[in-house]
Amino acid sequence: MSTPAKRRLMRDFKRIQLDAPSGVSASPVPDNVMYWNAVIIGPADTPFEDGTFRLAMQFDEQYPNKPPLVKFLSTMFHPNVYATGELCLDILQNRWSPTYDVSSILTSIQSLLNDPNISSPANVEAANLYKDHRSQYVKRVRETVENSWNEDDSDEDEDGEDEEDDDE
Amino acid sequence: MASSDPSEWLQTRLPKLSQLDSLQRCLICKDFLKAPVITSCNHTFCSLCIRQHLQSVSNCPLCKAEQFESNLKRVIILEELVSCFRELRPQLLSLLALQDSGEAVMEPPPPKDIEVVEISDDDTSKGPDLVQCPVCSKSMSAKHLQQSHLDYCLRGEVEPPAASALLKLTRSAKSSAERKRGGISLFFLAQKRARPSPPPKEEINHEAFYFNEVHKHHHEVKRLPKIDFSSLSTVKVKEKLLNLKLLTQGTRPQLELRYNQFYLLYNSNIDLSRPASELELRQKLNQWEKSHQGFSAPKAGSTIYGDELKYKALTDKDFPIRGWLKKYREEFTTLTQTARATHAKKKASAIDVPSGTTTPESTTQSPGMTTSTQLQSSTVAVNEVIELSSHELEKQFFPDSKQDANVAAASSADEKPHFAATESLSPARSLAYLGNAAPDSALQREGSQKIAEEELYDFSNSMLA
Repeated sequence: MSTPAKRRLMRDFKRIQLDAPSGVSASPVPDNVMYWNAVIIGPADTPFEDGTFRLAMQFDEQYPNKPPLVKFLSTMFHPNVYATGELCLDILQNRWSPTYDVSSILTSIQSLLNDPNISSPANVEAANLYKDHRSQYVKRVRETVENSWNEDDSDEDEDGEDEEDDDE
Repeated sequence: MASSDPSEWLQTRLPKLSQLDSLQRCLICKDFLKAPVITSCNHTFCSLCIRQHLQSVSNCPLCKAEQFESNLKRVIILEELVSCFRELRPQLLSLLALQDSGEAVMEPPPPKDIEVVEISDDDTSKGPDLVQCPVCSKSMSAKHLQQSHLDYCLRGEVEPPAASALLKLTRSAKSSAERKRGGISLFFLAQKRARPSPPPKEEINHEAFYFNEVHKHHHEVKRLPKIDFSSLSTVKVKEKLLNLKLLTQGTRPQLELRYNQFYLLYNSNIDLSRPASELELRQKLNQWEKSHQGFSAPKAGSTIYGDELKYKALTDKDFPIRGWLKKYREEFTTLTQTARATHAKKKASAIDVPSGTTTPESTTQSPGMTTSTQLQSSTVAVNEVIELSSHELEKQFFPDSKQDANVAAASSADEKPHFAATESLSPARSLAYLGNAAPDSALQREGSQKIAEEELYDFSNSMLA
């Protein structure tokens, strides 16, 4: 049944398809518009550059009056991302506004990558390295970037033509 | 229920209409404003959307200024403007459609292989392989939904029956432009044939309504009051519901939810120029209850995650990340490609803008040759040409580039200023959501000014050479 939340999500989908922000993409899972998958490319000229970070989003019928749950599925090393992949971002909690949509959420997460808020870290180690040992921090981040490529088996094949062939 | 997006105008002869379109939408539901009301901070939303928001948070969703329901004011002229525009929109879109831009137009490509799909209104027909369209709730195969149906549904159109799709196929030998036109007319023909046309909607004269029928502008109904449930017995609550001809069954929380939702529907309905009847409101309320979790028994057999992934919220400790990634591997591959493509495109266009404006003459002259005195005198030339808009400048440089139909290349004289604007629009817009639009758009402007200045330097250098 069509509900305001679902209609809004379909609008968000149309929006992100027609006018996608740079380096992010998202779509609802095939059988349920309340669950979305998303990919954020690490911004250029940052340690996260070219990472292909996967996320999942879960909306409920209160959207957009309530924010979605957002979770990194790729392993992250970032001061504001918990080990579980959940992230600590004000606009997804107390500073949420119903004017946000999927595009703006993903854009915010993208810019959070290189602009962490270290005052209330979700990952203390990442926050400390970021503050005091930047080169080590960068090294750890680069590792997650490389991992993010490996998660997709078919990634080495840029054309993605034989993605069906390499079922494990 | 027409679902549309402002960016549809970007592929027309008047791309700026996307702004006009965008400005008439509610920032909360992103649909065209319905019963628009203005806040004391001068921001406009659908009456229902903002009232709903204010139930939980007392601030403006856009600027965060403190806000109360009692301050909301109806904007009659805006409602009329929006309905006027909405009525004209489909016609305008087709009238202004780019004729021969071919592949550059972001219209969905015609389905490659046409499969005949039975689309039934009957919910019970939902077999194991069928999924429901989230917009119109019709059941069909997931493939058909994604490849064809959704595009029509989101545009608020009826999907042409499979028969017309086949007809379209037989004409596919003709030129693409011709086929396109043929396709559209066929679509309407098919629609005409398929069903007796619905009784024509009563034409509304928005002008007459606003200027002459002033007596119709205000409705003789009182708003429903907010109820402080903590001081009311269940019997009293039921009494209140009964007075409004609402159902009185259900648990106490359900009764409260029911009243509150009806309160929203009722009070926002009053803000409409042509309000719905109370009967319609009660039907809407029933609809809402059906989809609200507060009223539904826990659903059995949800198929969200497939069998092994059932009932897991993203925040569950044992959410199966591996399983999820595996289940949606194909989706993620596609998403990665899409994200990479936009990433690369923006990167490329950022490089293209300055280099694309370099004239052949200026490239023959090495910039290193320019002495500082030349540069100084060139500023005079800069001041002279500064009168010319960059738009006209480019026209001078690229008199022929108009023929370049590829919008994506964005090097054509007419397209380019617009293209640059829309490019900068999307980040600016998404940041506007975050409430700091001003510094960012200022930055964008600065950026484009800088580029314009660089162009002028190139230009004056070439003149001096």
